[in-house]
Amino acid sequence: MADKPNYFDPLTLSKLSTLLLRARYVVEGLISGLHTSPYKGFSVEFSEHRQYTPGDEIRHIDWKAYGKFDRYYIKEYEEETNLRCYLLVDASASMDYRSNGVSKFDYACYLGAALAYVMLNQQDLVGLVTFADGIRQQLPPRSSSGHLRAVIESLEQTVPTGETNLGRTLHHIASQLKRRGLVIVLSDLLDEPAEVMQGLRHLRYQKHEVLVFHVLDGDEIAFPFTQLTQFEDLEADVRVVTDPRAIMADYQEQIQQFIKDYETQCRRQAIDYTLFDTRTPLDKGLLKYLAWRGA
Amino acid sequence: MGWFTFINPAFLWGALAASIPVIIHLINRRRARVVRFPAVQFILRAERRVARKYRVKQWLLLALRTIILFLLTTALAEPVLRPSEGDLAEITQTRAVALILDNTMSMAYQVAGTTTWELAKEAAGLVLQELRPQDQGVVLPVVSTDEPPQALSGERARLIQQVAALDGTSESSGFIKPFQQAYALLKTSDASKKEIVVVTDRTRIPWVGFEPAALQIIDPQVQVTVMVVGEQNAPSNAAVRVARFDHAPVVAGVRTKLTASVVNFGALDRKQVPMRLLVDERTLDQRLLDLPRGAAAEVVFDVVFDQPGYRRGAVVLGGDALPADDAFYFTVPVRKALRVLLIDGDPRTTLVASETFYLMNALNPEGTSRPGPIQPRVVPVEEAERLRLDDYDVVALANVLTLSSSFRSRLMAFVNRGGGLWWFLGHHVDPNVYNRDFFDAPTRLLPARLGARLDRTERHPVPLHVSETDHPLFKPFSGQGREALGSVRVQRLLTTERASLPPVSRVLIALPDGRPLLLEGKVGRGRILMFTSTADVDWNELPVTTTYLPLIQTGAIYLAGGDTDQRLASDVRIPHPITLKVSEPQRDLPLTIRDPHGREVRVFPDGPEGGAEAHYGEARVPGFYRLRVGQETGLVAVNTPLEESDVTPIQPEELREKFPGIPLAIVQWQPGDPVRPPQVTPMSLAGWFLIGMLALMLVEGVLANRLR
Repeated sequence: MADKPNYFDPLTLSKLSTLLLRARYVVEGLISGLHTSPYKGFSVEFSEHRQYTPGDEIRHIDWKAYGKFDRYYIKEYEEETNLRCYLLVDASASMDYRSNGVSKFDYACYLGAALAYVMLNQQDLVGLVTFADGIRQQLPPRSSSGHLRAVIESLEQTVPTGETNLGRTLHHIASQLKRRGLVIVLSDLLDEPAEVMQGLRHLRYQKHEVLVFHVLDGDEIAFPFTQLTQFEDLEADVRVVTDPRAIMADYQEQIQQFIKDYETQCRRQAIDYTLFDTRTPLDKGLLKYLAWRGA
Repeated sequence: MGWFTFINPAFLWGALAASIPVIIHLINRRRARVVRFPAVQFILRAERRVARKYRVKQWLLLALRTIILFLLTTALAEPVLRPSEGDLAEITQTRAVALILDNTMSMAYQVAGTTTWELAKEAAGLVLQELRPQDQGVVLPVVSTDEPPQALSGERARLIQQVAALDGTSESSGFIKPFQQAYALLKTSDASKKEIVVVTDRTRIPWVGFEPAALQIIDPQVQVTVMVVGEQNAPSNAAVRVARFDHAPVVAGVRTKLTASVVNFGALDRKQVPMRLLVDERTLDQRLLDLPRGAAAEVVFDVVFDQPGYRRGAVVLGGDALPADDAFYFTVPVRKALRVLLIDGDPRTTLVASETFYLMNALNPEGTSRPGPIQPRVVPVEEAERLRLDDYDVVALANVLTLSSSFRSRLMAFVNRGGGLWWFLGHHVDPNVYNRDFFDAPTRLLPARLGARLDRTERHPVPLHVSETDHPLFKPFSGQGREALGSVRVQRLLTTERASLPPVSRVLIALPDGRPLLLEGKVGRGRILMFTSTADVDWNELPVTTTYLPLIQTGAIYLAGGDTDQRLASDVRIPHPITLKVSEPQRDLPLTIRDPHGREVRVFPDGPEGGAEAHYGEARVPGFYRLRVGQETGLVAVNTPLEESDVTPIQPEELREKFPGIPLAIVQWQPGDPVRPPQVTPMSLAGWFLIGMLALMLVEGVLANRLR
């Protein structure tokens, strides 16, 4: 029997025609895997009754219904939300690197679209900011069903180009966002770490919850080059000819330190940091979000 | 060249390969792939920190690889510690080797199923394998038809192939010619070291007559090495030397003896050696024979041929280590009958009283009713003059007064061509007339000048004295038959003048007083006998003794065999050519010769009128050669050279004496032995170079692994 396609695999998703379709596959696939609806919870608006089954919490038993019918019923509620989520997607030239057919930017788009899909289905408000050395496009947070299409179209039309200035952009966004909400940063963070952290701290200062989805290509982490290579920077006019085998160890040490520094700094600032390799299945990002949402 | 030198300096060109790592490095630098990469900042930082150290390692690696390749190629050039000047010359000098390969018949000697020839080829191949690219060599088989011999060649593979393609021969030859060729060829070479290598067995024969003076060219600078291969112990070989019939011609129905002479050339006694006589490939007789070492023996076979014609036979000895000479092939023309013309000089009305009565009965005891193998015909002189003498083998003249001049001429021609003539004297014979017509004539048909008639007074028989007991005429009287040739009463005879006895004449039977009773002469190819008394009982009593019949029959057969041996050479030895005399009517016809292998060759007779001969020089295989001229056919038996059967070994001291002043090495070679005497072996550095290379490869491996 042929294997079913894994729609969490970024490479598999890249073969689907539209970003909307890709987002739907990711989310629906995840939901079917969880077997429970992420859209149902124990919020304030009553949704329906169902019979008690062993394992249900006793506190959710409707004692009034028990008085009337002499049976245990569990009250279920329609989840109520007023979450504002800002998706900050890095569209600088460095995000255009790909080693396996899916660029970091593609990956960020898949993840962002999937998140938007989930959020909008939960009636959360979703906003989008694409940036490079500054904000390139901005969609204000909305929860309408047509907003998903606007988010996705915006992502699809964006071409990663230009230098990164993540720190300044985060400061700018932090000063723009009046109401607090959830800020999800999808970026390779290839900027001056101190400035980036300053920007993130600014967001935290504004009482935003911040999730950092650090997207890196596998090559950037493993540096698997073996022959003499001339490396050219994607953003700046910098070239270097080197034997990768000579510097591999040092490079790997640096990149691990780079990741670790972000991880440590984010933890200190109560920022949820997650590293994504472009080969990482996309459900990891969604689960991360859902875990956060559940908490 | 410093402290060391190279045996194969040509390989030093390979040292250029040491530049390969540098070239690869430069090519790789040019071919650096371009990658557009986001995290160049980390690369730059890493470059700054580790690249210098890495580059040093890279250069070190490059240097190591270059040195490794240099050491490898240098090791191939076989570096050696620079030896002394003499040793250096030994190593670097070029060699010219003339390989003399003994392919004579004795090389067919077998030990444990392997012939000496096979061992010799193996040894020769190894000698040639020793040749280096700068050396030269030439292969000179002892028996060779190549004229002139090949030149020195540097193509080792071709020389080895040439040896592999060589076949052993059944011929005999000495070493003088190949040595002359070898010295002549080496003289033309500019090689710094010249050698003659002789691969041979231990037999003395090829060295017989080998003297430095016979070589004409000698170069004392040429090293001679004699590689002795094959039998190390005392060799064993017996051969049939020859087989001969006791009389010729051989006549169908007449018992004849074939005597085979066998020689044991070996150093061991041989007992119960089987011997077979084959005629037309059928075994007629076989014997067992004891042969002491170095001894010869004779075996006599009694043979009666029932059919006339050319018959082929062989005397075959039981197998030994050299089977090539175990058979002696012969051919024999078997006559249907002998025709004897008896010319009666004193015919009478009754047979008993006739001069030829006893002769007639002695030659054909069965009478005319039952013709025997000897068919006599009695005619008077007048009738004889009208007959063709060529229709007879023997003409006997009994008490003939005289012959006409024309008949005398015909009789002379008849004898010259090989016909037999037997004189019987009597009262009609006038010595003066006989001496004039037959002794003083240009063709001397009388074996001796006749003298006066002698009347003997003895009343009793006197013993007959036989001067040559081994004469074919007396074969019947050998052994116990000697008694038969006893005493005879001779009352009268014609004396002969002993002083006038020609050199070709001899007395066969004499009376006690020395007077000849039977003489033999020879004219041309013919034989002549003269009985100085009568053929009947008028002057002697021999016709009524037991001696008469065998003597007369043997005499007739002997006289008829005058030209038998001449018609075909019955004992042809390899490589002597076959020569066949051709009659005038056949001189324009080709002679077709078919050898024992079935190959046919055509030759055309050549020579003056009346003396045309056909020569065939290719009889190199023992066996029967069939000859055909027009409608006539014949057979020639060819045998191996007898001297090659002598496997007596030559001693090293004897061999050294043949090379005075010439550097000589005698090597006893066996399979598995090296082919050259111990040489100067310079200390090779190739091994050390390779060890160094391996050590550097180890370092290179570790270093390269660390760089990964």
